Amino acid sequence: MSRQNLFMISACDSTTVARSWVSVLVVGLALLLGGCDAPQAEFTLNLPFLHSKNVSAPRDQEIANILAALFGTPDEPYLMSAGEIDHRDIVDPVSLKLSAGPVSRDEFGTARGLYREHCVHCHGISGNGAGPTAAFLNPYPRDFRKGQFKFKSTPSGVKPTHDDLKAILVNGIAGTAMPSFAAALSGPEIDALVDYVKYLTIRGQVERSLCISVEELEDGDAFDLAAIMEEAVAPALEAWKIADQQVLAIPPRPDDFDTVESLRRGREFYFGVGGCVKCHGDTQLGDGVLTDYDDWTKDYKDWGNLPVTTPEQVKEKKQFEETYYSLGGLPLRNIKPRNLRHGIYRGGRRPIDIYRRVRNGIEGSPMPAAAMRPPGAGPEVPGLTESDLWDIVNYVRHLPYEPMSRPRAEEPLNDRPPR
Amino acid sequence: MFRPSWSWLFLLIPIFGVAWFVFAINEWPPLAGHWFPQDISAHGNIIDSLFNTILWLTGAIFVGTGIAMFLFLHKYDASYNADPVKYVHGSHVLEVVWSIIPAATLLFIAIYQMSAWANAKVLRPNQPALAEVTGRQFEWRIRYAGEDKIIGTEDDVFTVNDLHVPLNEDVVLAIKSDDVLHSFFLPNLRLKQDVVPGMKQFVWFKPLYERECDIVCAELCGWGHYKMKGRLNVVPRQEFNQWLANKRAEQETSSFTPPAIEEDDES
Ligand code: HEC
Ligand code: HEC
Ligand SMILES: [Cu+2]
Repeated sequence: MSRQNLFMISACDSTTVARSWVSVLVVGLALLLGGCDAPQAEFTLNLPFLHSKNVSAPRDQEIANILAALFGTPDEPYLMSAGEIDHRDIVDPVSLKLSAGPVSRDEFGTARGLYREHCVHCHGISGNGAGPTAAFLNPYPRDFRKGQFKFKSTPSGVKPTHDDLKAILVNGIAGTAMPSFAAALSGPEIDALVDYVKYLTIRGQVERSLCISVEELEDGDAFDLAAIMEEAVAPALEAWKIADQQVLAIPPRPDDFDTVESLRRGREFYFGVGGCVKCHGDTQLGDGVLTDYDDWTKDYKDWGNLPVTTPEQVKEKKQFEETYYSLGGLPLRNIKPRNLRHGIYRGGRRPIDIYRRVRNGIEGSPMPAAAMRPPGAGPEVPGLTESDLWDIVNYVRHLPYEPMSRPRAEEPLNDRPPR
Repeated sequence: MFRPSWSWLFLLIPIFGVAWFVFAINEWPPLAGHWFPQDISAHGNIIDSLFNTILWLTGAIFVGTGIAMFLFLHKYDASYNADPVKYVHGSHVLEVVWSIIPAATLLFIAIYQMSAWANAKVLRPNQPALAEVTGRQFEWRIRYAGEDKIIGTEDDVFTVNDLHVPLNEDVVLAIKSDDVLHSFFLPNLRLKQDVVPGMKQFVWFKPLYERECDIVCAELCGWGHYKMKGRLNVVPRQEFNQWLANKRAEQETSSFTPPAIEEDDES
């Protein structure tokens, strides 16, 4: 715009110079006043989920209204206590202040709008994992609204602890787009963002419960707010509260961990009772099962898996895709078991991290929890013991260092003989 | 004498240009903190003096060109100069002169910087790399060779965006990329190396002061380029060894007792 104006000026002779200056000023002012307004940030409904549960107008608007009343807006978020649970025990209201709203600084220079500054372009305003950059990433950013997290110290079905989420933000998730924020954010800022993730998760889960409960409502019935607080909000809060009590204790690793014996046993479990070979493959390259989906995709997968043998079915499938994409869904993808020879561990590379992955499985992915032998049962009962798990962990951690895992050597550029 | 004309606007270019540098170099507001960060490396002064030499050279040419342009624009402004345009063939001598002077200048710069280039890019100290730095969208993943001094063995130590190096020692790093072009830039060490996928390259330096400073990416590598930042910590050898040992111990954490939960009675 201004470039064009400069050009105009140089093109006209000096008697019109004064007029050109005025036009530059006018255009500049118009840009200043008009061009700098960002659109209002709003929580969007979980449309693909609404659609899959056959929620239609006017119920969708009712759900949006209830959510706005219970949780506020992206600029003014809040939580309410429900049942026995004080919302301040779960999410510090100050955290919401720091994380939410537009990117800015308050009068003391404290950064505000952390979520929108650092996370929103991947995880989306409503935590739907479908921000503007999400479509380019594999795996997709986490959709918090389903309430499931992968890398944690608690078993599947239990929320991660505050420290688990904090570790994710500090370390990032190796091998995915999720970056480390250790250098960019201070400790209290990370705490605030972790709280905001909890807030978005609670909100998203309540939204899902509302969609599901629509089925039970008669036409014309209104939602029962008291019941919603009791049956949707309270459990969503409670789940975070009890996570700390469910952390898995890990017995010390036996001293023989780096022996050939331990690796041999680990390998045996991998191919045997552990059942790892089914997914991670004979060569551990992660090529056993390539057609499975993660839980986020499974919400919609039945649509994606429609048979396509007759012309009608092709049409139906096409229709599904059009609807699903028009509702903002990301293309459905298979989840692949990890290539264990790369030595990249999304949930961390410490022995206890791998132990947790194997012991508890990876929630939301097909990776199952280890089949443990019931405590007190004799060796005739199939299953793994804790020391067996350690053998598996040792084996897994050793795989990237086997000769067959070596990558082709790079061609060094400035690798001349040293001086 | 002042005659209003557009040429005055163009005179502002050399004036502003010079003022900008003067303010920045002297750390005057509003440009304080915009000149070079502190140099903490053994070789940095060579790079800085090269930079300054070239800045003076190009600065003089910039000011001269700016003023010459202004003078011509001012003299021949159409608003008060009604003379018809005259065709001039040009001057052979002038063309020879303004070809030879820049050519000689460039040749001078090329020869003058040769040893700096060799020291920075060719003559690697004879020692194995301390660590391997892998750029990926949008972070620096660092892998220390560990005690055996070989990268790719089981005693490697992994960190993200966290590079510690020992003080007063030659440090060699292997640099590579996981995905796209990046550029490994240590402003305080006057060191910059493009990171090319598929190539393993080396950089080396000798830090002289204990400092914590930035690692940044200096090659637009995607939307998150601006936040591809890490921390470089220069610490004494002892402290470095201790830090590395701690990192390694942490990486081998192999038992976990959940923290005791205090029962808070709600009422
Ligand atoms: C470049 C995109 C990107 C940005 C920016 C980003 N994330 Fe992520 N995030 C991801 C991806 C991708 C995953 C999923 C990784 C996976 O499934 O293995 C993820 C996963 C997560 C998880 C789930 C971890 C688990 O155990 O399941 C949390 C929590 C999270 N991100 C929080 C954040 C927060 C908070 C921010 C902002 C400070 C943020 N992310 C910024 C891409 C991003
Ligand atoms: C049903 C298929 C399946 C089985 C059986 C299975 N895995 Fe996995 N595993 C997966 C998938 C899928 C992933 C990737 C999860 C993801 O990307 O979120 C995975 C990931 C992993 C990871 C990577 C964890 C990380 O932090 O990146 C390890 C290690 C692993 N599996 C080990 C094992 C071991 C050991 C066994 C046997 C005890 C096993 N798996 C059994 C499917 C399976
Ligand atoms: Cu980069």
